[in-house]
Amino acid sequence: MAHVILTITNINGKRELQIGYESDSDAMPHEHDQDHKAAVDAVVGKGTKTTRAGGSDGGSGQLKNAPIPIPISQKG
Amino acid sequence: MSRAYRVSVSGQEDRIVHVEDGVEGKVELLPILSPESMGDILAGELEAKGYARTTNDKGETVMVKLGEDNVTVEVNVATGTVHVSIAEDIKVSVEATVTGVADDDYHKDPTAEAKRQAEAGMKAALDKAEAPKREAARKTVTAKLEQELAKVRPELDQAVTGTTAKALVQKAASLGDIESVEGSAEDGNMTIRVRV
Repeated sequence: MAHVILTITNINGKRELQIGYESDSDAMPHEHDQDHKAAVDAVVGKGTKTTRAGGSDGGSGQLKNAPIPIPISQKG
Repeated sequence: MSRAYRVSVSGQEDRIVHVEDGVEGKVELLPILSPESMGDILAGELEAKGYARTTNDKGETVMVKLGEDNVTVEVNVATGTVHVSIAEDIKVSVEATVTGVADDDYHKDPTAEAKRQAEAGMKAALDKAEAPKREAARKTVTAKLEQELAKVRPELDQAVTGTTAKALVQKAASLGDIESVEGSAEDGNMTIRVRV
């Protein structure tokens, strides 16, 4: 089963949302990337600017991408 | 031989000066849910912090809170606009002395004429004396506004953090089965694991 991992961090009012993705063990790297991107689009919409934090990691038969952090801007 | 007469008149008034100040900013939310849903969650978060729900003339929900020292905080949850304002009536005491001069060559009653001149100039003199007092009152009001802003900022920050976290939980539930939620919405540090 694939998993989406949503992590929100708040350090001194600066918030960051990270969207991680763990794909099925039999997924190909390009499928993983596509699914990860689709997960990001599903969470924050296609128009939202995101930052890629890292690439694929094929450890232990399971693809696990570094999360994509999305800083949430804020004015006080 | 002509003689000049000089008459000085002193005046003192207590006046009420109306001073206002305000700042405008914006809270920005990630579009995790629809703008309406994000706005509803933000309104709920602000309501829990003592804000009252109102509607502006465009039909948008505006959360309003009356803070200390006549400070009003308004958050339009549809646009994210935050307006913090203060308006106060402050009593100030103004004083002025005006001198009138008249010559008996030209005036039958030079003393009365000198007094008339002095009194005629009194309003303008008191207005002039009011200007620095008004400025001092404005500075006092601005200082109060800044003090209140220091309280409002973390409050809005918490509301935005809570809104983002709650929206994320709703979104996670729509993506698949939530397997675990670690952390809390209150401090804004949270990890949600969803099986898709």
